[in-house]
Amino acid sequence: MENLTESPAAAPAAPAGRRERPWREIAAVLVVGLALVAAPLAFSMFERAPKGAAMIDGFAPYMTDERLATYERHVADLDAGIRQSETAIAALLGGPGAVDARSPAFAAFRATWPAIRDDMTAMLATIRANVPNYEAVAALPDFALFPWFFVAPGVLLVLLALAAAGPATWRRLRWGVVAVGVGLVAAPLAFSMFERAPKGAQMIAAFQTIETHAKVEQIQGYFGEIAVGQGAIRLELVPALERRGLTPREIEQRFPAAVAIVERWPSILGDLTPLIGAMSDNVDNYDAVRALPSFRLLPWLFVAASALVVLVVAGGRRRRASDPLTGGAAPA
Amino acid sequence: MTCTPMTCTPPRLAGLAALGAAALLAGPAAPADAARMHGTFQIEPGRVTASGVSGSHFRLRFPGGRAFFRNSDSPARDKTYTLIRPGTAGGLVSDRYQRPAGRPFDRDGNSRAAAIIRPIPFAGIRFGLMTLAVDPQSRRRNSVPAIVRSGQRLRGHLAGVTAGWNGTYFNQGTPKPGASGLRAIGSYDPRTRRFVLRWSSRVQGGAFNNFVGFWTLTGRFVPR
Repeated sequence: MENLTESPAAAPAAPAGRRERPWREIAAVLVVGLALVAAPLAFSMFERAPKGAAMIDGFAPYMTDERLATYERHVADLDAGIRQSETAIAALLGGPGAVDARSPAFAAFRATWPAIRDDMTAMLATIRANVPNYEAVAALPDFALFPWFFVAPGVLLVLLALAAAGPATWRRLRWGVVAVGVGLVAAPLAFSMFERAPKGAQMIAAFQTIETHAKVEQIQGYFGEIAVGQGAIRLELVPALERRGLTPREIEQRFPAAVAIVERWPSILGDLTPLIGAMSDNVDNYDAVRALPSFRLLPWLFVAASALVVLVVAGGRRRRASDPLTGGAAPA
Repeated sequence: MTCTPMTCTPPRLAGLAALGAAALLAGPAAPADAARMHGTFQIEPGRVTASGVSGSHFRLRFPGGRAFFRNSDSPARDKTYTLIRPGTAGGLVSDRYQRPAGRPFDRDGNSRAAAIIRPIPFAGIRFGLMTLAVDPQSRRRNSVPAIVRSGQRLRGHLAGVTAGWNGTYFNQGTPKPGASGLRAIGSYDPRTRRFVLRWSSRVQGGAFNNFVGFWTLTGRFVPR
Protein backbone atom coordinates (compact mmCIF):
# COMPACT_ATOMS: atom_id res chain seq x y z
CA MET A 1 0.00 0.00 0.00
CA GLU A 2 2.90 2.27 0.70
CA ASN A 3 4.03 1.92 -2.87
CA LEU A 4 0.62 2.94 -4.09
CA THR A 5 0.61 6.16 -2.15
CA GLU A 6 4.20 7.00 -2.71
CA SER A 7 4.60 10.33 -4.39
CA PRO A 8 6.14 10.19 -7.84
CA ALA A 9 8.19 13.20 -6.85
CA ALA A 10 9.63 11.36 -3.85
CA ALA A 11 10.30 8.18 -5.79
CA PRO A 12 13.70 7.42 -7.19
CA ALA A 13 14.18 8.97 -10.53
CA ALA A 14 12.78 6.82 -13.29
CA PRO A 15 15.27 5.30 -15.65
CA ALA A 16 15.49 7.05 -18.94
CA GLY A 17 12.80 5.86 -21.36
CA ARG A 18 10.53 4.47 -18.61
CA ARG A 19 7.44 6.49 -17.83
CA GLU A 20 6.45 7.05 -14.20
CA ARG A 21 3.01 5.81 -13.02
CA PRO A 22 0.88 8.38 -11.15
CA TRP A 23 0.42 6.23 -8.08
CA ARG A 24 -1.21 8.97 -6.08
CA GLU A 25 -4.02 9.40 -8.62
CA ILE A 26 -4.45 5.67 -9.05
CA ALA A 27 -4.66 5.21 -5.30
CA ALA A 28 -7.20 8.02 -5.02
CA VAL A 29 -9.38 6.49 -7.73
CA LEU A 30 -9.11 3.12 -6.01
CA VAL A 31 -10.14 4.63 -2.68
CA VAL A 32 -13.13 6.43 -4.20
CA GLY A 33 -14.16 3.25 -5.99
CA LEU A 34 -13.89 1.19 -2.82
CA ALA A 35 -15.84 3.83 -0.91
CA LEU A 36 -18.64 3.69 -3.47
CA VAL A 37 -18.73 -0.09 -3.19
CA ALA A 38 -18.62 0.05 0.59
CA ALA A 39 -21.28 2.75 1.02
CA PRO A 40 -24.30 0.51 0.31
CA LEU A 41 -22.87 -2.12 2.63
CA ALA A 42 -22.21 0.41 5.38
CA PHE A 43 -25.78 1.72 5.12
CA SER A 44 -27.31 -1.78 4.73
CA MET A 45 -28.75 -0.59 1.45
CA PHE A 46 -29.10 -4.07 0.00
CA GLU A 47 -31.44 -4.90 2.85
CA ARG A 48 -33.16 -1.54 3.23
CA ALA A 49 -33.58 -0.32 -0.33
CA PRO A 50 -35.85 -3.22 -1.40
CA LYS A 51 -37.98 -2.43 1.65
CA GLY A 52 -38.21 1.13 0.38
CA ALA A 53 -39.30 -0.23 -2.98
CA ALA A 54 -41.93 -2.34 -1.23
CA MET A 55 -43.13 0.72 0.68
CA ILE A 56 -43.46 2.78 -2.48
CA ASP A 57 -45.44 -0.04 -4.08
CA GLY A 58 -47.54 -0.54 -0.96
CA PHE A 59 -48.50 3.13 -0.76
CA ALA A 60 -49.24 3.45 -4.47
CA PRO A 61 -52.99 2.73 -4.35
CA TYR A 62 -53.53 5.31 -1.61
CA MET A 63 -51.32 8.19 -2.67
CA THR A 64 -53.71 9.71 -5.15
CA ASP A 65 -55.95 12.73 -4.69
CA GLU A 66 -58.91 10.69 -5.90
CA ARG A 67 -58.41 7.90 -3.37
CA LEU A 68 -57.78 10.33 -0.53
CA ALA A 69 -60.91 12.24 -1.47
CA THR A 70 -62.80 8.96 -1.00
CA TYR A 71 -61.42 8.63 2.52
CA GLU A 72 -62.23 12.24 3.31
CA ARG A 73 -65.76 11.65 2.05
CA HIS A 74 -66.07 8.57 4.28
CA VAL A 75 -65.01 10.60 7.31
CA ALA A 76 -67.45 13.36 6.34
CA ASP A 77 -70.24 10.81 5.84
CA LEU A 78 -69.54 9.22 9.19
CA ASP A 79 -69.49 12.63 10.84
CA ALA A 80 -72.77 13.68 9.24
CA GLY A 81 -74.46 10.41 10.17
CA ILE A 82 -73.27 10.53 13.74
CA ARG A 83 -74.33 14.16 14.13
CA GLN A 84 -77.75 13.36 12.72
CA SER A 85 -78.04 10.38 15.05
CA GLU A 86 -77.17 12.38 18.14
CA THR A 87 -79.43 15.29 17.18
CA ALA A 88 -82.40 14.56 14.92
CA ILE A 89 -82.75 10.86 15.71
CA ALA A 90 -82.11 11.49 19.38
CA ALA A 91 -84.81 14.18 19.41
CA LEU A 92 -87.32 11.74 18.01
CA LEU A 93 -86.34 9.03 20.46
CA GLY A 94 -86.61 11.26 23.53
CA GLY A 95 -83.41 13.26 23.56
CA PRO A 96 -79.70 12.44 23.80
CA GLY A 97 -80.07 11.04 27.29
CA ALA A 98 -82.72 8.61 26.16
CA VAL A 99 -80.61 7.52 23.19
CA ASP A 100 -77.57 7.06 25.40
CA ALA A 101 -79.62 4.93 27.76
CA ARG A 102 -81.07 2.93 24.87
CA SER A 103 -77.69 2.42 23.25
CA PRO A 104 -74.67 2.65 25.55
CA ALA A 105 -72.54 1.59 22.60
CA PHE A 106 -73.62 4.65 20.63
CA ALA A 107 -73.20 6.85 23.69
CA ALA A 108 -69.63 5.69 24.08
CA PHE A 109 -68.94 6.08 20.41
CA ARG A 110 -70.33 9.59 20.04
CA ALA A 111 -68.14 10.66 22.92
CA THR A 112 -65.00 9.39 21.22
CA TRP A 113 -65.89 10.21 17.63
CA PRO A 114 -64.79 13.90 17.58
CA ALA A 115 -61.26 12.93 18.57
CA ILE A 116 -61.22 10.09 16.04
CA ARG A 117 -62.56 12.41 13.31
CA ASP A 118 -60.01 15.10 14.03
CA ASP A 119 -57.12 12.67 14.09
CA MET A 120 -58.22 10.89 10.92
CA THR A 121 -58.73 14.24 9.19
CA ALA A 122 -55.28 15.42 10.20
CA MET A 123 -53.72 12.17 9.08
CA LEU A 124 -55.45 12.33 5.71
CA ALA A 125 -54.36 15.95 5.33
CA THR A 126 -50.75 14.94 6.00
CA ILE A 127 -50.99 12.14 3.48
CA ARG A 128 -52.63 14.41 0.89
CA ALA A 129 -50.00 17.11 1.36
CA ASN A 130 -47.38 14.51 0.56
CA VAL A 131 -48.92 13.18 -2.62
CA PRO A 132 -46.59 15.34 -4.80
CA ASN A 133 -43.64 14.23 -2.69
CA TYR A 134 -44.66 10.61 -3.06
CA GLU A 135 -45.05 11.03 -6.81
CA ALA A 136 -41.58 12.52 -6.99
CA VAL A 137 -40.09 9.58 -5.10
CA ALA A 138 -42.10 7.05 -7.09
CA ALA A 139 -40.73 8.62 -10.29
CA LEU A 140 -37.19 7.82 -9.19
CA PRO A 141 -35.68 4.54 -10.35
CA ASP A 142 -36.70 1.45 -8.42
CA PHE A 143 -35.36 1.69 -4.88
CA ALA A 144 -34.02 -1.83 -5.09
CA LEU A 145 -31.55 -0.58 -7.72
CA PHE A 146 -30.15 2.19 -5.54
CA PRO A 147 -27.27 0.23 -4.00
CA TRP A 148 -26.18 -0.73 -7.50
CA PHE A 149 -25.95 2.95 -8.42
CA PHE A 150 -23.08 3.07 -5.95
CA VAL A 151 -21.63 -0.36 -6.56
CA ALA A 152 -21.53 -0.21 -10.37
CA PRO A 153 -19.44 2.97 -10.69
CA GLY A 154 -17.43 1.91 -7.67
CA VAL A 155 -16.49 -1.40 -9.27
CA LEU A 156 -15.66 0.41 -12.51
CA LEU A 157 -13.32 2.77 -10.69
CA VAL A 158 -11.67 -0.09 -8.82
CA LEU A 159 -11.14 -1.99 -12.06
CA LEU A 160 -9.72 1.09 -13.76
CA ALA A 161 -7.36 1.70 -10.87
CA LEU A 162 -6.22 -1.92 -10.88
CA ALA A 163 -5.74 -1.81 -14.62
CA ALA A 164 -3.71 1.39 -14.30
CA ALA A 165 -1.53 -0.32 -11.73
CA GLY A 166 -0.95 -3.13 -14.21
CA PRO A 167 0.16 -3.10 -17.78
CA ALA A 168 -2.45 -0.65 -19.07
CA THR A 169 -1.51 3.00 -19.39
CA TRP A 170 -3.00 5.65 -17.12
CA ARG A 171 -3.18 8.11 -20.01
CA ARG A 172 -5.90 6.06 -21.63
CA LEU A 173 -7.57 4.85 -18.47
CA ARG A 174 -7.91 8.30 -16.95
CA TRP A 175 -10.54 9.09 -19.57
CA GLY A 176 -12.48 6.11 -18.36
CA VAL A 177 -12.22 7.49 -14.84
CA VAL A 178 -13.45 10.85 -16.08
CA ALA A 179 -16.32 9.14 -17.87
CA VAL A 180 -17.36 7.38 -14.64
CA GLY A 181 -17.08 10.70 -12.82
CA VAL A 182 -19.29 12.40 -15.37
CA GLY A 183 -21.72 9.50 -15.15
CA LEU A 184 -21.90 9.92 -11.39
CA VAL A 185 -23.22 13.44 -11.94
CA ALA A 186 -25.22 12.70 -15.05
CA ALA A 187 -27.27 9.92 -13.47
CA PRO A 188 -28.76 12.07 -10.67
CA LEU A 189 -29.41 14.81 -13.20
CA ALA A 190 -31.08 12.38 -15.61
CA PHE A 191 -33.34 11.08 -12.86
CA SER A 192 -34.08 14.60 -11.53
CA MET A 193 -32.72 13.49 -8.19
CA PHE A 194 -31.84 17.02 -7.12
CA GLU A 195 -35.50 17.91 -7.37
CA ARG A 196 -37.11 14.63 -6.33
CA ALA A 197 -34.89 13.37 -3.53
CA PRO A 198 -35.54 16.35 -1.21
CA LYS A 199 -39.26 15.76 -1.73
CA GLY A 200 -38.71 12.19 -0.66
CA ALA A 201 -36.99 13.49 2.44
CA GLN A 202 -40.01 15.69 3.16
CA MET A 203 -42.36 12.71 2.82
CA ILE A 204 -40.25 10.53 5.08
CA ALA A 205 -40.21 13.30 7.68
CA ALA A 206 -43.96 13.90 7.39
CA PHE A 207 -44.79 10.21 7.83
CA GLN A 208 -42.73 10.01 10.98
CA THR A 209 -45.88 10.31 13.07
CA ILE A 210 -48.00 8.07 10.84
CA GLU A 211 -45.87 5.05 10.00
CA THR A 212 -45.38 3.75 13.50
CA HIS A 213 -46.68 0.66 15.23
CA ALA A 214 -48.31 2.85 17.86
CA LYS A 215 -50.18 4.88 15.26
CA VAL A 216 -51.29 1.77 13.42
CA GLU A 217 -52.62 0.32 16.66
CA GLN A 218 -54.43 3.60 17.31
CA ILE A 219 -56.07 3.45 13.87
CA GLN A 220 -56.95 -0.19 14.47
CA GLY A 221 -58.62 0.97 17.65
CA TYR A 222 -60.51 3.65 15.72
CA PHE A 223 -61.68 0.98 13.37
CA GLY A 224 -63.04 -0.97 16.30
CA GLU A 225 -64.79 2.13 17.66
CA ILE A 226 -66.30 3.07 14.30
CA ALA A 227 -67.48 -0.51 13.77
CA VAL A 228 -69.26 -0.37 17.13
CA GLY A 229 -70.75 3.03 16.26
CA GLN A 230 -72.17 1.99 12.92
CA GLY A 231 -73.42 -1.20 14.54
CA ALA A 232 -75.25 0.85 17.15
CA ILE A 233 -76.91 2.99 14.49
CA ARG A 234 -77.77 -0.02 12.31
CA LEU A 235 -78.86 -2.41 15.02
CA GLU A 236 -80.18 -0.18 17.78
CA LEU A 237 -81.17 3.32 16.61
CA VAL A 238 -82.76 2.40 13.28
CA PRO A 239 -84.79 -0.47 14.82
CA ALA A 240 -85.85 1.96 17.57
CA LEU A 241 -87.14 4.32 14.89
CA GLU A 242 -89.01 1.44 13.29
CA ARG A 243 -90.58 0.63 16.60
CA ARG A 244 -91.76 4.25 16.68
CA GLY A 245 -93.75 3.47 13.55
CA LEU A 246 -91.41 4.86 10.89
CA THR A 247 -91.10 2.82 7.73
CA PRO A 248 -87.65 2.21 6.25
CA ARG A 249 -88.51 4.69 3.49
CA GLU A 250 -89.48 7.37 6.03
CA ILE A 251 -86.31 6.75 7.99
CA GLU A 252 -84.25 7.12 4.84
CA GLN A 253 -86.02 10.35 3.90
CA ARG A 254 -85.82 11.93 7.33
CA PHE A 255 -82.38 10.70 8.36
CA PRO A 256 -80.43 10.27 5.13
CA ALA A 257 -77.04 10.85 6.74
CA ALA A 258 -77.55 8.16 9.38
CA VAL A 259 -78.91 5.71 6.82
CA ALA A 260 -75.95 6.49 4.56
CA ILE A 261 -73.58 5.13 7.19
CA VAL A 262 -75.47 1.87 7.26
CA GLU A 263 -75.74 1.60 3.50
CA ARG A 264 -72.18 2.66 2.76
CA TRP A 265 -70.60 0.68 5.55
CA PRO A 266 -69.38 -2.15 3.28
CA SER A 267 -67.67 0.35 0.99
CA ILE A 268 -66.26 2.30 3.96
CA LEU A 269 -64.85 -0.94 5.35
CA GLY A 270 -63.71 -1.98 1.91
CA ASP A 271 -61.65 1.20 1.68
CA LEU A 272 -60.57 1.56 5.30
CA THR A 273 -59.23 -1.91 6.01
CA PRO A 274 -56.76 -2.02 3.08
CA LEU A 275 -55.45 1.40 4.14
CA ILE A 276 -54.87 0.16 7.67
CA GLY A 277 -53.29 -2.95 6.20
CA ALA A 278 -50.96 -0.89 4.01
CA MET A 279 -50.00 1.31 6.95
CA SER A 280 -49.38 -1.71 9.14
CA ASP A 281 -47.50 -3.73 6.56
CA ASN A 282 -45.14 -0.86 5.77
CA VAL A 283 -44.04 0.25 9.22
CA ASP A 284 -40.90 -1.86 9.04
CA ASN A 285 -40.29 -0.80 5.45
CA TYR A 286 -40.63 2.84 6.45
CA ASP A 287 -38.19 2.34 9.32
CA ALA A 288 -35.71 0.80 6.89
CA VAL A 289 -35.96 3.80 4.56
CA ARG A 290 -35.63 6.18 7.44
CA ALA A 291 -32.45 4.44 8.53
CA LEU A 292 -30.88 5.20 5.16
CA PRO A 293 -28.96 8.45 4.67
CA SER A 294 -31.30 11.36 4.08
CA PHE A 295 -32.79 11.53 0.61
CA ARG A 296 -31.51 15.08 0.42
CA LEU A 297 -27.94 13.80 0.57
CA LEU A 298 -28.42 11.10 -2.02
CA PRO A 299 -27.63 13.07 -5.20
CA TRP A 300 -24.82 14.91 -3.44
CA LEU A 301 -23.12 11.64 -2.55
CA PHE A 302 -22.81 10.96 -6.27
CA VAL A 303 -21.66 14.51 -6.93
CA ALA A 304 -19.04 14.27 -4.22
CA ALA A 305 -17.70 11.00 -5.64
CA SER A 306 -17.71 12.48 -9.11
CA ALA A 307 -15.96 15.63 -8.02
CA LEU A 308 -13.30 13.61 -6.24
CA VAL A 309 -12.36 11.48 -9.22
CA VAL A 310 -12.46 14.39 -11.67
CA LEU A 311 -10.33 16.50 -9.35
CA VAL A 312 -7.88 13.64 -8.93
CA VAL A 313 -7.44 13.30 -12.67
CA ALA A 314 -7.34 17.04 -13.33
CA GLY A 315 -5.04 17.70 -10.38
CA GLY A 316 -2.68 14.98 -11.50
CA ARG A 317 -2.43 16.42 -14.98
CA ARG A 318 -1.75 19.92 -13.69
CA ARG A 319 0.88 18.72 -11.23
CA ARG A 320 2.75 16.75 -13.86
CA ALA A 321 2.59 19.67 -16.28
CA SER A 322 4.31 21.91 -13.72
CA ASP A 323 6.68 19.25 -12.38
CA PRO A 324 10.29 20.24 -13.28
CA LEU A 325 11.39 16.58 -13.00
CA THR A 326 8.85 15.08 -15.39
CA GLY A 327 8.60 18.24 -17.42
CA GLY A 328 5.02 17.49 -18.34
CA ALA A 329 5.80 14.04 -19.67
CA ALA A 330 2.72 11.91 -20.10
CA PRO A 331 2.27 9.26 -17.41
CA ALA A 332 2.48 5.58 -18.19
CA MET B 1 -68.68 -40.62 2.04
CA THR B 2 -69.92 -38.09 -0.45
CA CYS B 3 -67.27 -35.89 -1.88
CA THR B 4 -68.35 -32.30 -2.40
CA PRO B 5 -66.36 -29.43 -3.88
CA MET B 6 -66.13 -28.01 -0.40
CA THR B 7 -64.54 -31.02 1.21
CA CYS B 8 -62.83 -32.89 -1.58
CA THR B 9 -59.06 -32.88 -1.82
CA PRO B 10 -57.38 -33.86 -5.08
CA PRO B 11 -55.56 -37.24 -4.79
CA ARG B 12 -52.12 -35.67 -5.20
CA LEU B 13 -52.78 -33.14 -2.47
CA ALA B 14 -54.26 -35.87 -0.33
CA GLY B 15 -51.01 -37.81 -0.68
CA LEU B 16 -48.98 -34.79 0.35
CA ALA B 17 -51.41 -34.18 3.15
CA ALA B 18 -51.00 -37.71 4.44
CA LEU B 19 -47.24 -37.35 4.37
CA GLY B 20 -47.45 -34.03 6.21
CA ALA B 21 -49.76 -35.43 8.83
CA ALA B 22 -47.58 -38.51 9.28
CA ALA B 23 -44.64 -36.22 9.88
CA LEU B 24 -46.67 -34.39 12.49
CA LEU B 25 -47.51 -37.58 14.30
CA ALA B 26 -43.93 -38.75 14.14
CA GLY B 27 -42.67 -35.45 15.46
CA PRO B 28 -41.58 -34.82 19.01
CA ALA B 29 -44.73 -32.80 19.71
CA ALA B 30 -47.00 -35.83 19.36
CA PRO B 31 -47.50 -38.03 22.43
CA ALA B 32 -46.38 -41.66 22.14
CA ASP B 33 -49.90 -43.03 22.44
CA ALA B 34 -51.38 -40.46 20.07
CA ALA B 35 -54.07 -41.72 17.75
CA ARG B 36 -54.96 -39.79 14.67
CA MET B 37 -58.62 -38.78 14.36
CA HIS B 38 -60.08 -39.05 10.89
CA GLY B 39 -63.46 -37.46 10.40
CA THR B 40 -65.54 -34.39 11.06
CA PHE B 41 -65.48 -32.36 14.22
CA GLN B 42 -69.11 -31.39 14.01
CA ILE B 43 -69.66 -27.99 15.51
CA GLU B 44 -72.27 -27.38 18.12
CA PRO B 45 -73.65 -23.85 17.74
CA GLY B 46 -72.67 -21.23 20.24
CA ARG B 47 -75.48 -20.14 22.51
CA VAL B 48 -76.34 -17.21 24.68
CA THR B 49 -76.81 -18.28 28.27
CA ALA B 50 -77.83 -16.46 31.40
CA SER B 51 -74.22 -16.26 32.46
CA GLY B 52 -72.74 -15.49 29.07
CA VAL B 53 -72.16 -17.84 26.18
CA SER B 54 -71.65 -21.56 25.74
CA GLY B 55 -70.55 -23.73 22.86
CA SER B 56 -68.54 -22.67 19.88
CA HIS B 57 -67.41 -19.09 19.76
CA PHE B 58 -64.71 -16.71 18.66
CA ARG B 59 -63.10 -13.63 20.19
CA LEU B 60 -60.69 -11.15 18.69
CA ARG B 61 -58.27 -9.30 20.92
CA PHE B 62 -56.71 -5.97 20.01
CA PRO B 63 -52.92 -5.72 19.72
CA GLY B 64 -51.25 -5.39 23.06
CA GLY B 65 -54.02 -7.35 24.75
CA ARG B 66 -55.77 -4.19 25.92
CA ALA B 67 -59.30 -5.22 24.94
CA PHE B 68 -61.43 -7.49 22.81
CA PHE B 69 -63.10 -6.33 19.62
CA ARG B 70 -66.80 -5.71 20.15
CA ASN B 71 -68.87 -7.27 17.41
CA SER B 72 -72.13 -5.34 17.26
CA ASP B 73 -73.73 -8.16 15.31
CA SER B 74 -73.22 -10.70 18.07
CA PRO B 75 -76.41 -11.77 19.82
CA ALA B 76 -74.46 -12.21 23.04
CA ARG B 77 -74.81 -9.63 25.76
CA ASP B 78 -71.03 -9.43 25.87
CA LYS B 79 -70.37 -8.35 22.30
CA THR B 80 -66.78 -9.51 22.46
CA TYR B 81 -68.12 -13.05 21.94
CA THR B 82 -69.07 -14.02 18.41
CA LEU B 83 -71.10 -17.19 18.31
CA ILE B 84 -70.28 -19.85 15.77
CA ARG B 85 -72.70 -22.06 13.92
CA PRO B 86 -71.85 -25.13 11.82
CA GLY B 87 -71.43 -24.83 8.08
CA THR B 88 -72.51 -27.08 5.25
CA ALA B 89 -69.90 -29.75 6.08
CA GLY B 90 -71.03 -29.72 9.70
CA GLY B 91 -67.68 -28.56 10.99
CA LEU B 92 -63.96 -29.01 10.72
CA VAL B 93 -62.84 -32.01 8.70
CA SER B 94 -59.46 -33.48 9.58
CA ASP B 95 -57.00 -34.59 6.90
CA ARG B 96 -58.63 -32.47 4.23
CA TYR B 97 -58.69 -28.88 3.16
CA GLN B 98 -62.04 -27.13 3.14
CA ARG B 99 -62.03 -24.36 0.59
CA PRO B 100 -64.84 -22.24 -0.73
CA ALA B 101 -66.14 -23.29 -4.10
CA GLY B 102 -66.27 -20.52 -6.66
CA ARG B 103 -65.86 -16.89 -5.69
CA PRO B 104 -64.71 -16.59 -2.09
CA PHE B 105 -66.47 -13.26 -1.46
CA ASP B 106 -69.60 -11.48 -2.61
CA ARG B 107 -69.44 -7.90 -3.84
CA ASP B 108 -69.81 -6.48 -0.33
CA GLY B 109 -66.87 -8.50 0.94
CA ASN B 110 -68.98 -11.11 2.72
CA SER B 111 -67.23 -14.48 2.83
CA ARG B 112 -68.81 -17.32 0.90
CA ALA B 113 -66.75 -19.96 2.68
CA ALA B 114 -69.59 -21.86 4.29
CA ALA B 115 -68.26 -25.40 4.82
CA ILE B 116 -66.79 -25.25 8.32
CA ILE B 117 -68.96 -22.53 9.85
CA ARG B 118 -71.90 -20.58 8.60
CA PRO B 119 -70.51 -17.16 7.64
CA ILE B 120 -70.99 -14.92 10.66
CA PRO B 121 -71.76 -11.20 10.65
CA PHE B 122 -68.79 -9.42 12.15
CA ALA B 123 -68.86 -5.63 12.24
CA GLY B 124 -71.42 -5.69 9.47
CA ILE B 125 -69.58 -8.07 7.13
CA ARG B 126 -69.83 -11.86 7.27
CA PHE B 127 -66.66 -13.83 7.81
CA GLY B 128 -66.15 -17.44 6.89
CA LEU B 129 -63.62 -20.06 7.84
CA MET B 130 -61.65 -22.34 5.58
CA THR B 131 -58.57 -24.53 5.67
CA LEU B 132 -56.13 -23.74 2.89
CA ALA B 133 -53.13 -25.57 1.46
CA VAL B 134 -51.31 -22.30 0.80
CA ASP B 135 -51.54 -19.32 3.12
CA PRO B 136 -52.75 -16.32 1.06
CA GLN B 137 -50.74 -13.87 3.16
CA SER B 138 -47.33 -15.53 3.50
CA ARG B 139 -47.67 -17.90 0.49
CA ARG B 140 -46.36 -20.68 2.72
CA ARG B 141 -47.70 -24.22 2.43
CA ASN B 142 -49.88 -25.63 5.15
CA SER B 143 -50.27 -29.25 6.10
CA VAL B 144 -53.82 -30.55 6.23
CA PRO B 145 -55.62 -30.18 9.54
CA ALA B 146 -54.52 -33.02 11.78
CA ILE B 147 -55.92 -33.79 15.19
CA VAL B 148 -54.59 -36.50 17.44
CA ARG B 149 -56.00 -37.97 20.59
CA SER B 150 -54.08 -39.16 23.60
CA GLY B 151 -56.54 -40.55 26.11
CA GLN B 152 -59.00 -37.74 26.62
CA ARG B 153 -56.66 -35.06 25.39
CA LEU B 154 -56.73 -33.59 21.93
CA ARG B 155 -53.94 -31.80 20.17
CA GLY B 156 -54.17 -30.38 16.71
CA HIS B 157 -52.18 -28.97 13.85
CA LEU B 158 -54.46 -26.38 12.29
CA ALA B 159 -52.00 -24.16 10.41
CA GLY B 160 -54.25 -23.78 7.39
CA VAL B 161 -57.26 -22.36 9.24
CA THR B 162 -58.01 -19.06 7.53
CA ALA B 163 -60.71 -16.47 8.04
CA GLY B 164 -62.08 -14.63 5.04
CA TRP B 165 -63.64 -11.23 5.71
CA ASN B 166 -64.18 -8.06 3.74
CA GLY B 167 -62.42 -9.45 0.71
CA THR B 168 -59.26 -10.36 2.57
CA TYR B 169 -57.79 -13.38 4.31
CA PHE B 170 -56.36 -13.69 7.79
CA ASN B 171 -54.58 -16.81 8.83
CA GLN B 172 -56.12 -18.04 12.05
CA GLY B 173 -54.25 -21.26 12.28
CA THR B 174 -51.99 -22.74 14.86
CA PRO B 175 -49.11 -23.14 14.51
CA LYS B 176 -48.66 -20.38 11.97
CA PRO B 177 -48.02 -21.34 8.34
CA GLY B 178 -44.67 -22.97 7.78
CA ALA B 179 -44.32 -24.11 11.38
CA SER B 180 -44.86 -27.59 12.74
CA GLY B 181 -46.32 -28.95 15.91
CA LEU B 182 -49.62 -29.63 17.56
CA ARG B 183 -50.70 -26.38 19.13
CA ALA B 184 -54.47 -26.58 19.30
CA ILE B 185 -55.54 -28.26 22.51
CA GLY B 186 -58.75 -29.81 23.70
CA SER B 187 -60.56 -32.64 25.31
CA TYR B 188 -62.45 -35.66 24.04
CA ASP B 189 -64.87 -38.09 25.59
CA PRO B 190 -64.50 -41.41 23.74
CA ARG B 191 -67.87 -42.60 25.04
CA THR B 192 -69.95 -39.70 23.82
CA ARG B 193 -67.46 -38.52 21.19
CA ARG B 194 -67.97 -35.02 22.45
CA PHE B 195 -65.02 -32.71 22.01
CA VAL B 196 -63.76 -29.27 22.90
CA LEU B 197 -61.03 -27.76 20.75
CA ARG B 198 -59.32 -24.47 21.57
CA TRP B 199 -56.59 -22.43 20.01
CA SER B 200 -55.43 -18.88 19.55
CA SER B 201 -53.77 -17.30 16.57
CA ARG B 202 -52.08 -13.97 16.10
CA VAL B 203 -52.84 -12.23 12.82
CA GLN B 204 -49.67 -11.44 10.92
CA GLY B 205 -49.93 -8.58 8.47
CA GLY B 206 -52.80 -6.62 7.05
CA ALA B 207 -55.38 -4.47 8.77
CA PHE B 208 -55.66 -6.86 11.72
CA ASN B 209 -51.94 -7.22 12.25
CA ASN B 210 -51.20 -8.40 15.79
CA PHE B 211 -54.84 -8.98 16.66
CA VAL B 212 -55.24 -12.37 18.31
CA GLY B 213 -58.16 -14.64 17.53
CA PHE B 214 -59.35 -17.03 20.22
CA TRP B 215 -61.32 -20.00 18.98
CA THR B 216 -63.40 -22.51 20.85
CA LEU B 217 -65.12 -25.28 18.95
CA THR B 218 -67.33 -27.72 20.76
CA GLY B 219 -69.44 -30.53 19.42
CA ARG B 220 -69.35 -34.18 18.49
CA PHE B 221 -66.76 -36.05 16.49
CA VAL B 222 -68.02 -38.17 13.61
CA PRO B 223 -65.36 -40.59 12.40
CA ARG B 224 -64.98 -41.16 8.69
